[in-house]
Amino acid sequence: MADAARGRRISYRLRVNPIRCDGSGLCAELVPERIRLDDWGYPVADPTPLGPDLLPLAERAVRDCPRLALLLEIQGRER
Amino acid sequence: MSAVATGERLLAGPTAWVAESLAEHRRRLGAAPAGNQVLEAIEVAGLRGRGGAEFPAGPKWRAVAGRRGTPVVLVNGAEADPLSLKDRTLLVMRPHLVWDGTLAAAEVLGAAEVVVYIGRDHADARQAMAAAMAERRASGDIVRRVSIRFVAAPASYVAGEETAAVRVAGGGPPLPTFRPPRPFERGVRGRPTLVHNVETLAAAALAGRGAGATTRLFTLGGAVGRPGVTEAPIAASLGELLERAGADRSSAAVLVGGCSGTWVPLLQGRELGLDQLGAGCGSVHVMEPGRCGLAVTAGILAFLAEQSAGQCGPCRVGLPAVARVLHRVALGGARADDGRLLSRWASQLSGRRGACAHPDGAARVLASALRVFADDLRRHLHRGPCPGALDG
Repeated sequence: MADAARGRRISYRLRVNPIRCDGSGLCAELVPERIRLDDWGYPVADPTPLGPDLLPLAERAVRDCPRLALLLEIQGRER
Repeated sequence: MSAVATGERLLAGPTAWVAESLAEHRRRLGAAPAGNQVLEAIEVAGLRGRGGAEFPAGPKWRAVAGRRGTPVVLVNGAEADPLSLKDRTLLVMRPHLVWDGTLAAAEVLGAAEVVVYIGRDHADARQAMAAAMAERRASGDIVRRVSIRFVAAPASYVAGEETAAVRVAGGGPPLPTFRPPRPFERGVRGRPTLVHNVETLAAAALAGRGAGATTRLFTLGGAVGRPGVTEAPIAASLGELLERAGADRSSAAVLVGGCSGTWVPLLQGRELGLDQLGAGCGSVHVMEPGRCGLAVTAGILAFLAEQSAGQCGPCRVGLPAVARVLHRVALGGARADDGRLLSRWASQLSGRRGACAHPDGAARVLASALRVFADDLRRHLHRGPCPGALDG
């Protein structure tokens, strides 16, 4: 029961579609708190949920990615 | 080895390298269990996939059943890992057991199509499955409402990955796709698709007959006296399998789980259960005594780099970089910082960096090599390649 209640709270996290991504690095500039680049310049997304402070920046990174390779994944919601 | 009733074993029955006939199969195991009986049984037994990812089978069937659209069952016998032979062995020797599990799944899901996806080079396995189906049809065993299609799996490492298999079955290239959608949501030609390794389906057929799905198949190879496929309890210890394989006791390490598996030191690893180690595709490969583990791993990384589908940056660029540095560490030309570089890359390449788990697999084998061959690594970095790296 407690799990179900917790499960209904929605949280967001960033995820990279690695097939689309060409390593422009824009996302790491916009949300360095959640995206860092590996040694080859490709983004590594930290799966920690985004707080309200970071969400607007994350949304902008998703919108501005030149390859549309960044996703906001919704967690904790019933399918 | 702990006793398992013969009726519960996948390879119980005749031991010859030929298909068990339908008559023999039925005499030994009785009629095929109904689909819903099999589904209930695999849930009770907690059957997990035997292709490497070890995903629970029951929830997978339920997930496909819960989707709209007519499902497809994809029987995955691509077996692309060069260290694994168990799928071919099962298909050649027990095609009817694989069919029992496959048709049970098709029945309970109401599937309209079954795709049998077998390695292009595994002609004997494909023939055994085709002949077994012909035998069923000839015996009046009508396979209703489901069409059966054989699709050759390209001979590439990632062709066996489930989304790549789905794509090939739909007429596409052997390239993994980004998830979501997962195959159960949108698989072959957009239909909800159940993708199972052939051994998983055979184990389901046994479970449906009241067996516990307590054993699995292992491919024993490398420096062993008795190479080949063997069946053992899922939780068998590495030592038990090495004993059975007649492993060379002077070997330093064993690679468990295929080319993207885990190195385990032979001395300390014997007590560990294969289930704890993560058996992956079930391969247990003993390193030749005197060989250098770093050189062997450099060869594996070169292979994995070459087998990358090349779709995702970290895999396309990262794997060749790892292979290059590991090669110079193993064979000459190492730089002082190479050890730290490899550790950093092992961590950067893990954690779902690709559309499929190919980079994770490369990271796993690399990380375990750095751990198990840490002394060799230090020696290589200070004094250059060891003799075991240069011969062989």
